[in-house]
Amino acid sequence: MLAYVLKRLLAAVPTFVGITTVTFAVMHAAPGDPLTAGWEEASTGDATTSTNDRLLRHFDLDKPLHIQYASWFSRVVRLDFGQSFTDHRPVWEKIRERLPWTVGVSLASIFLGLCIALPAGTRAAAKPGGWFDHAFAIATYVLYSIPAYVLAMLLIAWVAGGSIDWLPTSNAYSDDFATLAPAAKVLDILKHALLITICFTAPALAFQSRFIRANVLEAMSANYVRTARAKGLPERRVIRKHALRNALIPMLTYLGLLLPTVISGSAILEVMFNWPGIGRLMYEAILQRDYPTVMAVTVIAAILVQIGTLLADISYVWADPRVRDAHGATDGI
Amino acid sequence: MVSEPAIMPPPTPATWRRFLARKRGLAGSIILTILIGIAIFAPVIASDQPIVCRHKGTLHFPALVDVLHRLPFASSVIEKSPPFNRADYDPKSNAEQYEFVVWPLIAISPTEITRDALQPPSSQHWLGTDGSGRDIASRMVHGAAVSVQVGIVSMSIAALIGIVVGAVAGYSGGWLDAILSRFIEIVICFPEFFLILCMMVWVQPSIVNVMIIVGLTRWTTIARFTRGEFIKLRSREFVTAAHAIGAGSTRVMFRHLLPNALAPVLVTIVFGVANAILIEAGLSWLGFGVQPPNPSWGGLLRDAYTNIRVAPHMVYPPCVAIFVTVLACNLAGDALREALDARDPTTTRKASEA
Repeated sequence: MLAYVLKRLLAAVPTFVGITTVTFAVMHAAPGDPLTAGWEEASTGDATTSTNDRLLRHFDLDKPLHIQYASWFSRVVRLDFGQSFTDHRPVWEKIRERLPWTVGVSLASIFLGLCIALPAGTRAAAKPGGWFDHAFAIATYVLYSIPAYVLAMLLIAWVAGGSIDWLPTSNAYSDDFATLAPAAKVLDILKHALLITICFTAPALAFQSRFIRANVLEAMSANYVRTARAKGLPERRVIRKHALRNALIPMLTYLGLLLPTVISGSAILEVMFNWPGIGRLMYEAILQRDYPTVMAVTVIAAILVQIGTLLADISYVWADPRVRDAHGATDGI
Repeated sequence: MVSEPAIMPPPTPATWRRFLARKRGLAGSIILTILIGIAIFAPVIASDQPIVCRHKGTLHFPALVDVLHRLPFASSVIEKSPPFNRADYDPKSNAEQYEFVVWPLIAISPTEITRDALQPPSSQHWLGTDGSGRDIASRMVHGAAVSVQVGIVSMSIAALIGIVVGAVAGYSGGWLDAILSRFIEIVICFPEFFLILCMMVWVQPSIVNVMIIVGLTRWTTIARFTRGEFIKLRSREFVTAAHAIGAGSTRVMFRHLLPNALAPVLVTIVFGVANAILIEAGLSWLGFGVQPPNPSWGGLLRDAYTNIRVAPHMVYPPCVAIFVTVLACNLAGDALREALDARDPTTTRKASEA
C-alpha cells in the first residue's frame, strides 16, 4: 500500500514539472504583454521609455525566460504567486478572495446533487425495467444532453425576461448588502446563489444518478445481498443497509475526481451570472494578460486535478482489497 | 479475478444494420444527417442570392456556386457568372430584372442589417431579429455550418493525434509508453477550458484556430482508449502471426491492430463531436471564437444574453439547436456502442447505462 502511494507520488513529479512548464511557455509565447494590455489605463499612453523599462525590470520581464521560470517556480512552491499586473495586489490574495464563492457554490451543488441522485438512483435500481426506471432513464438522458450554459441561458431568460423579478441573475449579493441584518444577508446570498447552483448541479446530477443506479444494481446481485434477503430482511432494509452502502464505495473515487472542479469552477457560468468566483477571475485575467494570475489559477487547478486523481486512485485501492492485491498487475495511466 | 479482457469486434456491415435498427441510433443519425445537410447547403437555404434565375436570357445559379465555394480552393476554379460576381451587386434590389427567379427559403443573408432590431418571430423573420436587426433564422442556418465544421474538423485532428499517440504507446510499451503516458497525463491535468482560453490569447480568435485548438486538446481520451485496446490486443495470436510472416511494426500497428481496436475509439469520437461543438459555442460566447458579425450558435447565445431583458425570445433558437445536436450525438454514440458490442444483449444494456 505504502509502496503504491510512493510510486504514484513519484510518478506525479514529472507531471508537475510538465504542467508548470507548459503554463509558463503558453503564457509567455502570447503576443502582447502587460505593457500593452493591462497598463493602458495606468500609463495613459504617454508612458515614456524609462517608465516601460522600470516596469519591465520590476516584473523581471527583461530577464531570460529560464530565469523568470526558475524564480517563479521557487515562489509557487511557497504559494507566492507574485503581484497581479493589473492592480499590484498579491495574486494569492485575489485568489483567496474569490475562492469561497466558487467553493461554496460547488459544495452546495454536490450536496444538492447527491440529495437528489441518491434516492433517485437507488429507487431506479430497486426495480430495473419498472416505470420509475424508465422515467429515470429518459430524465437523466435529457439532463445529460443539456449543457450547463444552455440551462443557464434558459433560466436567465425565464427569470429576467419573465415576471420573477425578485430573483437576481447577476452578482453574488445586493448593492445594499452592507446595510442588511445578518439573517437578511444570508437570505440575500442564497437568493443570488440559487440559479448558478442549479446550473452547476444539473449536468453532474445525470451522471451521479446513473452512477449510483449502476452501482446499486451491481451490489444487488452480490452474495451478501442474497444472504440478507435469505435471512428474511425486508426489501427496503436490504437496499438501504446492504446494497446502497457497498454501492457508495465507488463514490469515493468520483468525489476525488470532483476536487478540481470544486476549486476552479466554471468560467462561462461565472461570467454569465457575474459571479465573483475563480472562473471569472481567470477570464478577466486572460483578457488583461495578467500573467501571474492566469498562471497561478491554471497551476492550482492542474495540480488539483493531479491530487484528485491520486486521491481517487489511492482511496479506491484502500477501499477495495481486491484492487489492493492486484494493483501490481494493472498499472493504468 | 483476472479474466480475458473483453474485445469489441471491428465494425462490419452487420454493425451498421444493428446500429440503425435501434431507435436511438436511427433518431440520432437522422438528426445528424439533417444537421449536416443544413450545414452543407446553408447558402441555398438562407442567402440573399437566388438559387436559380434567368437574367437577360441566361440562367444563373449564384447560391449553388456559394455552396461549392465552401470547398477549399474552389473559388479559384469556379466563379459566379456576371453580374453576380460583382461584390457590390445586390440581387434583391435588381429582382424585377429577372425573367424567372427562385429565392432561398430564407431569402436574407445572415449578416444583412435591417432596421427592425429585436423583433419577435413574424412571417417576415421566422425567428425574429437580433440587436442589429439581422435575421436570426438565417444566422442559425449558417451557425449550424460552423458547428458541424468544428465538430468534424477538430475531432479529425484529435482522432489523428490520439490514435497515433495511443497506438505507439500501447504497442511499444516500456519507456516510450511511460513517456507518452506522462505526456497524456500532463495534457489531462489542465482544465480544458482554461488551456483553450490561454491558447486563444496566443492566437487570433477565429473559427480555424478554434478547430485546431479543440483538436489539439481533445485527443487524450482517444489516446487512452487506443492505448488500452492495443495493450489488450498486442499479445493475441493474430499479432504474433503477423510478426511471424514478416510484417513490420507500422504494418502490424495500423493494418492488424488498429482495425480491431477501432470500435471503442469510434464511440469516443462520436461523443467528442458533441463536446467540440459545445466548446466552440462556449468560446464564441466568451468572445474567443467566431467573431461577429459572422454567425455562430455561441455568438447568437451571446447576443441573446446581451438583450435578455428586452428580447427573451432570442434565447430559444440557439439553446434548442445546441441541445438537439448534443442529444443526437449522445443517442448515436450510445447506439453505436451497443451495435458494436455484439455479445450478450443484457450485459450490453447494463454497460451502456452505467
